[in-house]
Amino acid sequence: MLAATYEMCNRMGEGVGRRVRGVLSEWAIADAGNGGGDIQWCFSQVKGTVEEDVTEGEAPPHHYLSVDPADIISTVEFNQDGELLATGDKGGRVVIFKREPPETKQSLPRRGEYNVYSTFQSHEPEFDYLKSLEIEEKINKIRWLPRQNAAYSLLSTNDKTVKLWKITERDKRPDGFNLKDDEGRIKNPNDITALRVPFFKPTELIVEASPRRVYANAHTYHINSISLNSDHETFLSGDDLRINLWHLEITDRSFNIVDIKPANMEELTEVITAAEFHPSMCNVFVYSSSKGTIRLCDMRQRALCDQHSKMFEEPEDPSNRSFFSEIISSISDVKFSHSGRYLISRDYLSVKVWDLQMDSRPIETYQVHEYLRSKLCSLYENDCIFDKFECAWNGTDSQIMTGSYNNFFRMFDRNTKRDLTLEASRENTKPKCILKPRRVCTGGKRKKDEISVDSLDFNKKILHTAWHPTENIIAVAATNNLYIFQDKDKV
Amino acid sequence: MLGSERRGTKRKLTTMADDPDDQADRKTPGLPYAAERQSCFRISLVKLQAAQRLIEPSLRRSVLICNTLKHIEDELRAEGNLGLLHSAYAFATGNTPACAPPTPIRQPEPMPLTLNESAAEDIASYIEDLNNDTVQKEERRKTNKLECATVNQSTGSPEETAKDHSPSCMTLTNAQLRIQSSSLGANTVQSDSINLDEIFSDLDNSLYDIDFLTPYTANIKLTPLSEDDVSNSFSSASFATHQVTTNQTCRQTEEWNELDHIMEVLVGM
Repeated sequence: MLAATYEMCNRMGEGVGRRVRGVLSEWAIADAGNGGGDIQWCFSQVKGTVEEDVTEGEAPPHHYLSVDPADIISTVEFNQDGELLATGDKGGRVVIFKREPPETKQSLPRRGEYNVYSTFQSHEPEFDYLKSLEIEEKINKIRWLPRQNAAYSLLSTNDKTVKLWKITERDKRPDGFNLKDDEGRIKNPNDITALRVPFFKPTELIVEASPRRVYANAHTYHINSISLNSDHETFLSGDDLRINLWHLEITDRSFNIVDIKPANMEELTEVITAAEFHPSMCNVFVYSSSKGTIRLCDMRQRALCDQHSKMFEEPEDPSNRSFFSEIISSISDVKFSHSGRYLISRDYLSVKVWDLQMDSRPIETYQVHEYLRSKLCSLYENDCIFDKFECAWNGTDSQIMTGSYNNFFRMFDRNTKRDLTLEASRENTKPKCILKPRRVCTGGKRKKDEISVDSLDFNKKILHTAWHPTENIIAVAATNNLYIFQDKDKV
Repeated sequence: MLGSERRGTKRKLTTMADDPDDQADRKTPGLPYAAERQSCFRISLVKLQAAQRLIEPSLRRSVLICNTLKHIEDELRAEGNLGLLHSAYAFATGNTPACAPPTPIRQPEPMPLTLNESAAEDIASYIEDLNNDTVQKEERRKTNKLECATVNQSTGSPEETAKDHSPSCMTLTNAQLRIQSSSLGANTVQSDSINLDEIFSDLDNSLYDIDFLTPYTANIKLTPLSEDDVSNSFSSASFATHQVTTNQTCRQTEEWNELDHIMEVLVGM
């Protein structure tokens, strides 16, 4: 009933519809889908080595370098049913975790643990001879394909090349051949005295990953996004200036659907930062820019989607204008809601929720770390202002999550309008240990348990997070460690 | 707390933010707007000249830095602070090679050569002190020549892809070029460089040895140009060949011109 009422609101005039929606969201607390009340997050697992002082970034100062930078996690993604969790790292490796069913009803965590399922080298470092530059093997994005048979498939990409990997299990092998012996050597025909029927012998589980398709040589600039279409046949790959459309089966051709490269590169002022297909409308996709705009395009309208169908942009607040206004308005991530009715955009200081029906301004804005606004100059100096944070929806589109510095991450409840700051740290790693909310003191007297802005560690940043598609399980990448947190009630 | 009265008041970090007069005007405590803008400007220029990296720098980052620089430039222009702008560039060019575009191509044997900080400051203050029109014009022509040389260098670059990947500084330098051309009444690139030749033709630049400055150089690497780039960027071949050897950059010659000019004034020629 609530959904139908929302639908009615969307068809009303903007002003009236918005007011009614506002009232409905108050009533929607009971309909939040999480059983009402706030979630209490507990530690579940942590993957990765324990190391002090790891920094992100291309050239960490030497005294910080105690961990191999290749281990720094660069992307995290659950698959469609949440049973698999994939991570990519700076060294070009993909590690897939699979949730084991819990052994007994009494074991902790009750939902089962994520254990390593497969590890493989997805991309290797390459050298571009024309430009005399290295091509990083860092995995920028992983996207799962929906499962069509016993195998799992995913798309992984580095700066230049997208690859389709197929992950298959093998737990049997053929045995009992007549012409070959147990080690596989050909038998001497004279030694064969009896005839037997070969059979399949169970072996221990072997998980193999094989590259099935390589989509290469289509991007001059660095790929920042890949997105699978809802038709499950095509996908897009977006770089700084262009977005290409591929068919999964065809690797030697791609169709360019967006090109914002100016004729004269000296006039370049804007780049594409993220792109995503609509979750159900196979002809709609959005892309965000470094100038804080989100453009929605319809592929039915025109083959080349340079002209947007809708542009989502919030007019700038003149009181907050500074030299860094443009940099902090640059959108680092954009995600459609599961329903397809909303999308969230992450810029440097906030997360904004947009209604696809209304492009004049966001319907909700959540401040992630407003206390950094007065520190923008220092953050510009140390390059932190260019950090690209991701954001995530929960399964029911009622909550949003994003990362911050000092290994903090933030959760926003759209219904209760409450926000929560938690920390991914090795200190809270007892199972079932409820995470304590953290608070940043913005000035004046620092209360107990608060941390002051100047004590924040800007080298510990949480850029990549993922939320299970249906349950309250979140995966948070803190440099080279992967933390998994769960809802207390289910642990 | 109980103990605090006995132990005395806790020390607090006093910042300029405590000053009530300035508080209202400032978005960020600690620095007045103009100083912050200047610092931001300088940081942006340094960022664009970051040491050569093996991996292609992020296009998004370069574009954002460039846009920030342009924004500050526009603000300075709107305020009528063109003099400030040029001195800022002079200071920056004294400190860092502002007009060598960050090409993605890694060049061998980078030559560390810049003027030391105090020399740059002297030049900047010298320029500010002199309100003489001709001197200002010359200074503008010099910075103009800087930009011209860079533009020529960039267009002369054999690599199309290099141009693709370094729009940032070229955008900036071209913007500067347009600003200055219009303000000077559209002097052509050619005529500017020829004027400079006339001014300095009687100076013997061989007196100014590189080694004189090396002990004081900042640890910033330049992007050396190939021989072709250098010879293409200068209109008058004699000027170029007299001044520039294979390993030296066009930036260096601009340093010499500035230095020459100052020496000329100081010596009273």
